[in-house]
Amino acid sequence: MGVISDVFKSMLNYIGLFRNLRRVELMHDHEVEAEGSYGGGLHREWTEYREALLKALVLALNHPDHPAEHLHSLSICNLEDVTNYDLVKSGDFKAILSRLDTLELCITTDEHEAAPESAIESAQRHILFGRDLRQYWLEPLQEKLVNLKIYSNCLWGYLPKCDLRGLHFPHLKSLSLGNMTFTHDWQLDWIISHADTLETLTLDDCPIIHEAMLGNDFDSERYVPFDDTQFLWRYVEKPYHWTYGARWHDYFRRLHIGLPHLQRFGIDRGP
Amino acid sequence: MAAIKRHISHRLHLLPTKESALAARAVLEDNELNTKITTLSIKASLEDVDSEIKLTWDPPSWADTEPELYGDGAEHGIEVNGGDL
Repeated sequence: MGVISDVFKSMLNYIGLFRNLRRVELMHDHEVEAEGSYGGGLHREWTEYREALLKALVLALNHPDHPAEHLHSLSICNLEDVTNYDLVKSGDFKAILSRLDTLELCITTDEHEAAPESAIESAQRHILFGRDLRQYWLEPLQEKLVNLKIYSNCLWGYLPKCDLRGLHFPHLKSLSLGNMTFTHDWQLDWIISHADTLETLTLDDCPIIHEAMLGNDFDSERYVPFDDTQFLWRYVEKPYHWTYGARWHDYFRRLHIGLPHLQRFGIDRGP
Repeated sequence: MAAIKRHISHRLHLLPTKESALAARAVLEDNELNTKITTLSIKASLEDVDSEIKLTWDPPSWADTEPELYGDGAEHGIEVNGGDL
């Protein structure tokens, strides 16, 4: 057991005293272990520790005597897919977000090493990608965000569903998505809806899912109802099936035509 | 410190250790270095520490009842069962 030093806590509390501080990067360990998971216990940070550190960071950046006034860029690597609602609803958290034009999140989920097929049922990741990411991180930033990066260690977009429709960043110049699955035309439409400003687009290890078989019935848009995700991998004699016809040549054509200001486009499998 | 001032990056790294915090504080309190820092990079855990050693922000609630798991005197500094890492 290692208890964090009071000297470190004190230093963290003073970071607003760096007079030209523009960007803060917080890097957590890539292993998480959720309650009831089957992980191997290799994680170095409990959820409680992660939450306490993030809370202390937010309080420090919005310190009443010495806030980080010039902060405009926040990067959190390996953010656990657990939302502390007291924190994200707090005035300090909202005050920090209001200063940002750059947000980079790499979301880490419990990988269930012993039973990887069950990880897709994790309620946490469905809640985060299905609701909290949008409600507490992205919506408050709509009017100001210039650079947005969303990565995760799990494939996201379809399962867990992440519906970005209706969300618009009128000043967005750079968008990077990592490990996001394309399963619906609206996802491409959403990217192209930023045509007036978007100059850089990176799709890092973002596959198009052509076909899927599920143990659950899906709605009219081929999405699994949020409450049914705990039964996703059960065996069924007649699985539900869907296909998606779009291919990369369709996407490239639409991106080429739809994003006239695009100067840099990256697509690959990153490290 | 003069050599540090000549070669300092705009980025300051902060680890969750007493030593790292003291080094960062020295930069903070130096008027010249302070203004050069534009990026603060905080690493929340230590890779060279056994993963069996979990970091905690505060002493856990069970510290008094299970001292063999927690040790004593761990309220200041990063310590493992009461000893410095």
